Amino acid sequence: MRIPFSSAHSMQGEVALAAILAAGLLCWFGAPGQAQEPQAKPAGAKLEFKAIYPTLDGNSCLGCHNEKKRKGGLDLTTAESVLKGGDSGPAIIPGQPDKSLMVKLVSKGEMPPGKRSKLLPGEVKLLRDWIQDGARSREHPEGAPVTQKVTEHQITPTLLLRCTVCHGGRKKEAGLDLRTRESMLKGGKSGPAMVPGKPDESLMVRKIRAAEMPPARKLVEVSVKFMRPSELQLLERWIRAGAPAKAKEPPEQDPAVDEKDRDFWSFQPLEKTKIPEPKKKERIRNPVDSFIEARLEEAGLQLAPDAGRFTLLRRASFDLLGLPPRPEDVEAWLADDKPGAWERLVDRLLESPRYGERWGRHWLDVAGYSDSEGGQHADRIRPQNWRYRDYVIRSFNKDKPYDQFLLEQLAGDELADYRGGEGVSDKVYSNLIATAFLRQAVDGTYANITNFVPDRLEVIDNAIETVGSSLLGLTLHCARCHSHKFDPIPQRDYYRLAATFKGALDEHDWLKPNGDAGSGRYLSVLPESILEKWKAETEAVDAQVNRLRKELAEKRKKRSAELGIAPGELEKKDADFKKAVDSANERIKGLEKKKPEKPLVRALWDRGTPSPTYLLKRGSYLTPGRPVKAGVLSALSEKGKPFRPTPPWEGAASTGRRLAFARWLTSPNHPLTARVMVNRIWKHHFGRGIVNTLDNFGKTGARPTHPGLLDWLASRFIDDGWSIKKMHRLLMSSSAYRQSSVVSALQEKKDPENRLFSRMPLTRMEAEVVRDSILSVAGRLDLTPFGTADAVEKRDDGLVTSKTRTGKDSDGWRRSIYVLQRRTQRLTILDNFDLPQMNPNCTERNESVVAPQALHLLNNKRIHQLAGIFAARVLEEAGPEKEKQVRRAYLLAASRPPQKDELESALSGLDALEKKWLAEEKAGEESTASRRALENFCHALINSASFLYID
Amino acid sequence: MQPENTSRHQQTPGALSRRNFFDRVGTGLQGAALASLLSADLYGEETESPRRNLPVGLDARRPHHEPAAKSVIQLFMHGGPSQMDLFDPKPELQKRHGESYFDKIAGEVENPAAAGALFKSPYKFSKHGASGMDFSELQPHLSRHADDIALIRSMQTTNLTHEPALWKISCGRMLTGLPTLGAWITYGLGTENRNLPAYVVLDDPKGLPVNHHQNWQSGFLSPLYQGTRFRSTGSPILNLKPEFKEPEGITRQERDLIARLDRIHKSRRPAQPQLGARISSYELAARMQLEASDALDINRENKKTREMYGIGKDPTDSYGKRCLIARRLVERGVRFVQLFLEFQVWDHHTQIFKGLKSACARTDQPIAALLRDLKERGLLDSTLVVWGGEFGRLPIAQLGDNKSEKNAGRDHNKNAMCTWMAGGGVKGGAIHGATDELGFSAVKDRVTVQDWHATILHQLGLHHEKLTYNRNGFEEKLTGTFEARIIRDILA
Repeated sequence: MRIPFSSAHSMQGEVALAAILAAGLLCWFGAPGQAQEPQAKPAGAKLEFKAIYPTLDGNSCLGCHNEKKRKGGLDLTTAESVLKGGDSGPAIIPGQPDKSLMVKLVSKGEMPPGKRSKLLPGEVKLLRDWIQDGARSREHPEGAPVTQKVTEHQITPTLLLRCTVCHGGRKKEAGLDLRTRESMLKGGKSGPAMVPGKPDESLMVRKIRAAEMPPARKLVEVSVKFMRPSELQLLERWIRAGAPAKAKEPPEQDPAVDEKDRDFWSFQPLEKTKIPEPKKKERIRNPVDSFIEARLEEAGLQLAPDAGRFTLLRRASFDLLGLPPRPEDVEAWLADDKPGAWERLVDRLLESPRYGERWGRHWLDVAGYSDSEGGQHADRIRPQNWRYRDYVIRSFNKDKPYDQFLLEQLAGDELADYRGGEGVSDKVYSNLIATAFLRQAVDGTYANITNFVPDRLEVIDNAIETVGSSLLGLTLHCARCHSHKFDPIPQRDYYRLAATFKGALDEHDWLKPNGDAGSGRYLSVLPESILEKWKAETEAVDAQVNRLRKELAEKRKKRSAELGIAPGELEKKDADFKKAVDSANERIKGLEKKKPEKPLVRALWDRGTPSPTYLLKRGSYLTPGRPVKAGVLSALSEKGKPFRPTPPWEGAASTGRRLAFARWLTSPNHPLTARVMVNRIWKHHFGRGIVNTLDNFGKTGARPTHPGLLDWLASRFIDDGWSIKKMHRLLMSSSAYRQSSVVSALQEKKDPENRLFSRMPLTRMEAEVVRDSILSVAGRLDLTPFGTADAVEKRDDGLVTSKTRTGKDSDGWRRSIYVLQRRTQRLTILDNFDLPQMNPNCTERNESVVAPQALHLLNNKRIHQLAGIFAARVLEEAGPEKEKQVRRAYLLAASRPPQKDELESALSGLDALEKKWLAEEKAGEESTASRRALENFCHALINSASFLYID
Repeated sequence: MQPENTSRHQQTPGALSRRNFFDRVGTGLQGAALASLLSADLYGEETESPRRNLPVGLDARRPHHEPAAKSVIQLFMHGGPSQMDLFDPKPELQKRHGESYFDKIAGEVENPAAAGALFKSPYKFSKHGASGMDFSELQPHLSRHADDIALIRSMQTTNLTHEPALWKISCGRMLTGLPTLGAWITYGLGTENRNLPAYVVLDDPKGLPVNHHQNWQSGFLSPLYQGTRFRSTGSPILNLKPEFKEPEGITRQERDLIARLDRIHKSRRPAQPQLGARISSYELAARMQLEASDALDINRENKKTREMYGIGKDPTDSYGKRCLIARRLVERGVRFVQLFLEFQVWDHHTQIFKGLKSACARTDQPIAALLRDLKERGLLDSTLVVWGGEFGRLPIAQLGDNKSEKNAGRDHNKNAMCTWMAGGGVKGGAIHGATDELGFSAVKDRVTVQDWHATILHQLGLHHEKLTYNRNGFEEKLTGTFEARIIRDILA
């Protein structure tokens, strides 16, 4: 143990000794929780640091907050270091125990954390008294100095916050740049901004004091607020001290993370696991089964039998495509009785373009995809964000290796030079589109009043949180305000990531989400093919418009001559002509609307000149702390591989920081990236993750139920070139995946939560699947992929529905992924079936069973209309015979024939309905009544569990 | 093998199995109907545990402590009602009218370019009730209830823009996508009437407030806890009634068929509770159709009552109806009723004289009637009525292009706002806190939004530190990581 004072120096003698004794006695005799008044200290005597040292030591405070470990940046071993404090600011304020953070935390029992025993009331009192007395120590027997030296690092954040938007890198109003000491000395048109040693003579101080700067009437325009008095004082103190230049930055160490922190399972490298050998081998189709069966055997269970063929087809179809198998798919599947039929089925499904739409949707959840900005009531549309959606769908269809997929989304702008060179390749274009992954957060900064620095920090935080929860499986955002309470993520790590993203996401150099190239977040970097297509489409419309105009002009000329009326007077005097003009104008308007929007790339790119990053104490932009460099998570940094980003190519106006981050993340040695992704794929097939908390692989998250399997799959994933489709093939070819979902009594008893995967889960269709499947069953699903999103309509009562691509209902509606995803206008049907709010993203959806779902499917007009179309289809395909109709309807909706009792119920239901309709429509014909009854039956089927649930 | 759950708190074996049970149903389904599968004794102390999420369901739950109120009616005055023209008279402002003041508060003004001089209130104030509470002449009806309401004059919020300020007052933080006060309360307490939504929103047929449905969203909590909009005309809930013509007998026949097919489906799939929950959700849907229609049928009230609310005459008819429906809903056990006005009726950037007068004319009589009606029926004791907006307004004028004082308004002010509460264990006649001499900022006994939230929860028997939801390893609370204190001064 290290004692900060030697006994020879303990001169203050009795006082300190008495205090130590008091604390010691409390430790001996004070039962936990029992409040005991410490012995009164002699009047007039002042406490010194050494009096409280035993308290800090005895309560294991120093176990974490010592000179080496410095958890939370805090070292409590000397009076000086206590004063200096940590990442949450000073630990104490001399003379003010109530305002001292340390007192607050120990009084509330938040420190020492967890189950460690808390400080006794007497010990807290001692601490308070010491602070009250002025936090004395051997070095400062008269009480600790409240003030400390001001460094340039303390004033830079203030200037960034209040001044540099007009006097900085992009704008130098009055020729002034206030970013550095040198540029302040150089000054602007009115001379130097600052005179070292003389705050009263420094122009900037005088302007600020006189409230001339920042200019009051312009504050909102530039989203800046006045300087706070404390900030001005700090600036004055710095100038008074001679404006000392930045000291050399001390080498960054990571004392807050030590080797022990890396011991946690998910921070460990992937383990080369041995495939277990279960006793029973009959059901083992691949190693996945060996892992599952071995665990089941331990629990006295075994893999459930294969599900029936209809069930398997339906399960695979929904899993991979999100759509029900069509009757012809069922036939083909039943007809293929040769070995390898299942593998062929899976291959066929994986090759369908519908696959990317299904799995792309899973990824859009993770990315927090939205077609609008949110943040303001206006909820502005994000033009061209659909290009990112299409990029995601295409990537899944192409089976883009996952590491490449991540590289592009995190640093596509740094992968290849998009500015130089001639022509834009598809690759460069798609790289840039991919970066929109980091641009999906709610973002109200397009309006000045919601574009202040804290608003921007919120946007940046959302991007970091998305990266954390979706790619790393870590709760990074906890470390925004304080070092993570459970995981080894010091607060500094959060700001290292913020610095890593700062080349593009800089709260002091912000690009507003404007829709035009150059000024906002859009680049005009597109391949010729796209531009030419746009040009051609635009010109085609223009040509049509011109032709109409020309025709109209000719007509006018002709008519004018015929009637002898001046051409300009025709509309007023000739009703026929007016009609013709109106109709032509109407058509022109319609044509103009069809003009495609100018293609642009909504992207994120490094601008090459990031502002310096400071740790923000307690997450507040008003309390900046020490400077932080770009980096990755300390606990996951590879030994011997320091984070040293370099510009990605020679002469690049880019820091290369995000690229370095992306390379670190996609390194085959990264312990989390592959584990998190295979776990996610597993979850979408098996209903729950091997780690049940998909977004949290940290200490508060769940532990893997099958750690060996997880690591084996992750290694296999990497070895297979990060191929997601290969992973599907592997998982789906197992017996585990082909198990029946029927729960046996034994399973219910021994594996009630299905943690052992003793069966497949019964699941309800997700929101999009409900809507898409109803459309598909009714034969009204428009399969046109990609492009501009389909519009939505909001009825007065709030019901939101989608429009068809062409405007005609008979052409059908596109899949839900192609409908506009506006935050304030979510399709009601999707909303009812648990479409997540992106906040900032969704790592796992809810599955609720609530009355509004029933009400929607029972009473909604559109559903009723589609049920009618479904019935017409059944009638056409099955003819008038009732049993055939029921069989056909079941084949379409449930991809299987009805069971005997279902058939009976359906037939008797149809009969009863038909009789009722006949009675209702007295003059009605029998055929009308039977058609109506069939409509009711089809409506009932859409409402039934057989349709909505997947075995 | 590591245990899967690593909760920081050691579980007793009994609690563990119960938790597992909830985990199981919690991930598999969240059903209105599910609750019936759970015996009542499984609840009880559930709300006591700060570390565990409450099971998803709407059954009434025991609160943390003896509650003073059972339900809440929130009269949401979004837009930012002007405190110095309604509840907080400022003689000093009258005196210094016309004096320049902008430079002193420039950072606190949303529209600096339009900022004018100090601007007095044109309205006369008088004192009412035993405590001498101040009301301006705009609220002749409410002022008669001075002894029923507790006035807070020192509330502050954290942003001077509508959207973030609305999120703050609705959800506790300036972020979208979080559960609102009403969602937290229904999550904590469930409901007394399972045939109606636990949390009902009565919005203005003329239009939705700023932020629309975000004002009643459930965020990361189950959608079970989000507010359900009841419209005062037509079908009260979306899709509550068939949107197509069909004889009732046929509809019933079809539903019977669905039920029969679902029972067959379920019989082949034992031990799948979500299938039972699903069947129940269809039954609940049918019951809701009846009960919701009944709750909204204000023609069942006598003429005198309707007149008291100002129903049938302009400009009180619309808000009067919503107030009366609110009473009918809490009477039926609805937990949280939230009333809105169109867009932002209280946002008087210009023409504050005309605008404020009209806003009060629409609401003053209905609100007073609601208080009186609740009291006469013995419901006021168990119903907490809360009134307020998302922020207050500035003591300086906001001028239009012509700079005319006649058309002047007031800009947003986050530093001072007035709110009040009544009923539900609140001390009638209490006046809490004070603003500076001009009414720019609260200076005495400041109340934060989280204090206000904690106090409302407290009256319902919930403790803001104990009502938690574990999400992504983070313990979420309505009051977030902010310190909150209960405003004891206004409690009986």
